[in-house]
Amino acid sequence: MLERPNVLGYLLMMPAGFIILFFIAYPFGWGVWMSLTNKQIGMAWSQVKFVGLGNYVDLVTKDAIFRGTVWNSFAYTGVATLVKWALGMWLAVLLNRMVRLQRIVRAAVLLPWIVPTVLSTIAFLWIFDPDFSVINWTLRHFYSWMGWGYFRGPLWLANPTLALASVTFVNIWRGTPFFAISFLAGLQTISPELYEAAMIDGANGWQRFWHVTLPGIKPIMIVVLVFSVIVTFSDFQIVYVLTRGGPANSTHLFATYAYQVAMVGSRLGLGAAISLFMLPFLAVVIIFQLVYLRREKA
Amino acid sequence: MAKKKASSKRGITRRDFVKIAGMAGASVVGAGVLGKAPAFAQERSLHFLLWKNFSPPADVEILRQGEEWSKQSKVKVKIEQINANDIPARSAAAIESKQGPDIIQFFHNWQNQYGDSLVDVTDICTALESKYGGYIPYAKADAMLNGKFNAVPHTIVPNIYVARKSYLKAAGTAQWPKTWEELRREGKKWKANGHPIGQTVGHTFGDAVDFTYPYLWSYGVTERDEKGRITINSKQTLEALKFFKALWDDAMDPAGAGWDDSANNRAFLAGSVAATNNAPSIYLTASNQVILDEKGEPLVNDILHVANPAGPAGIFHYHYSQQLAIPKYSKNADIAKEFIRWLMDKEQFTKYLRRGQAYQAAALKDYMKDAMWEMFPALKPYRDHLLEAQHVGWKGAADASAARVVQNYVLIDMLANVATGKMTPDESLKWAEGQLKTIYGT
Repeated sequence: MLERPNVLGYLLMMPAGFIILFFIAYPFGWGVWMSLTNKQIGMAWSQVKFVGLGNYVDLVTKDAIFRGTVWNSFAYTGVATLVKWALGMWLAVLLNRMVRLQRIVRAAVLLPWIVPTVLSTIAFLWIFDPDFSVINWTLRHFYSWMGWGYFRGPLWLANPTLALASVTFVNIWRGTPFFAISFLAGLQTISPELYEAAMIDGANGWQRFWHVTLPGIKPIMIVVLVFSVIVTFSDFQIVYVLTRGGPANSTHLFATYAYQVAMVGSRLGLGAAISLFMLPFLAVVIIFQLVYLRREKA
Repeated sequence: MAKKKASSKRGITRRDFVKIAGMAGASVVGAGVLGKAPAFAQERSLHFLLWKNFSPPADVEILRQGEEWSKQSKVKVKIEQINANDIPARSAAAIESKQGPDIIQFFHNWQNQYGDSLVDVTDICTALESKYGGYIPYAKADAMLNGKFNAVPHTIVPNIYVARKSYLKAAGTAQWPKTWEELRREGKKWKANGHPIGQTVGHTFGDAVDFTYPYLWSYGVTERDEKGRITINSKQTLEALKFFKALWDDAMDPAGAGWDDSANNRAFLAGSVAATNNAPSIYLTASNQVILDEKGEPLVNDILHVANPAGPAGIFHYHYSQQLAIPKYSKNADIAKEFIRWLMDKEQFTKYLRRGQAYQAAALKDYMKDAMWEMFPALKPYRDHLLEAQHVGWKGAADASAARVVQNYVLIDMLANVATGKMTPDESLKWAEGQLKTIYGT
């Protein structure tokens, strides 16, 4: 029986199936259930009450931090993804043209993405320090050198707007190499003959980019964008290390606020509901990707 | 046949693979069902989770004591130290999964969130109380829930103001301000000289709480009354918030909104701020590392330890308590209790406090008379103000909800909202009331 391809096929798929079932489907189902209860850490299940959509309603109607978190998450993801896309594309085009020191430069470009996030973010903790920051030190000396008097420099992590901008910047710094290298891989699949033909037809640089480069890397671009949106939207480490959601809750994202409410504040049910608020948006993004990929295949 | 031969040449057939995989799987399952843990794994051991101390010699001593008890009791003691800000999540994961450290150090009254999941240690605490002159009241309140001790009060990290004498003098401040109004007036001068007051209102476990709670209490602000009713929406709170905005703008360092517990230490030691509310760690670092001031003199000679200024309702401090709890999931609760009893014995505990250089005070009153305070006379003001504090959630109980208010930085953010200009005092008050109602479920 095992010699029959369909039986063996299912058998070989079983380990992966079990992994998906136990490590993805089961925790997800458990999370959904928990979000419908008043479960707290340490609370016996016999005491746990089903509250229906109560947690979700409370978050939307009563929790101002949550409403701020929704705004922060969309602003963070939107700005970071757009800038990473633009910078990644620019970097990829440059790298594609580079002839000398190609390998070394490509390896160097990948560094921010390779270094563990927590480690590089701790470095940014120093870079954004109001008094000991290298940026503020440079600005202070520049002001003094220009004879403009004393300038302390921006309070990167103490001002609510700047703090959100700072955590977004770190995400851009870290994520751009992924865009660049992926786009570079896409660029290298485009035949040089297409560019030659476009040039013969009189296309300028922008037209060549718009009509040859962009369509050529569109499939890979969609995959990279979708992947980046998912990862950025559910980001945790950068905000946790730099601000812990502060100052005055100005930098909380879904993941950091869920962590604060569930793991630190022990309200697991409410924390699960915060996390699951990410689901509809991420589902839309994933469905968009699947539909696109299916259409491309067809 | 030809096919079979071809696959044999590649080394393994599908049939072989399935057989091998089946045998491997069966042996793993068999080992789990029939096998027993090897004998060496049955040796008893104890896992103790606590913070990385701001006074490093205290860490050296607790590790030494762990080794000493290990030799005496033949129980392997594993002492794990992590950043204090990470203890809540670590303990939450342990309590919920019912596995992890046998003893966990909690701050404020964090452990009351998991009251039902902790071993009742009333027996240890009552014995210690009667032996060492009773507990300091707020430390006791923080360690109790529903009339029982769910953690053993261990130490207290006291917090008062640390100031630079020379900076105050240069601005013409003859004596430390006695009221918040005076602090604002004098602080304005210090700030004009480039040395503001450093104060965090960020998301961090210690200094932000240590300032926020006593500041609000000194204005007569409480989150609940004795009957548990939410009392934050009062004209005292509004007055406190309005004044805080003025104090922040006039005298404080705006960078404080983004600081953690170590940032004000660095700022003070670098000469960036004139004063900050802090534990003895600034003094100890300046002393142990022989940090010099701008004139090349030892910085410790320029450090002043003084009380919090008074508000309309008087002087208040907040010194955070630290207590040791044993989760019910622990299979070693009996030896964990023995270890805590041994740690709390005068011989060990005195050494721990003294090696820590008076960074922490004891939660037991008798230790206020300990010779340690004579060894570090500059830190005596910390002892002198040790009793002028309350527990979190005061005037209500230090219950699970009061812990959640601290853990979610509600009162701290109420101040941060106005400090950063994110909200007006009225808006911030309403925001905080909404948060408290959600947490207290009213």
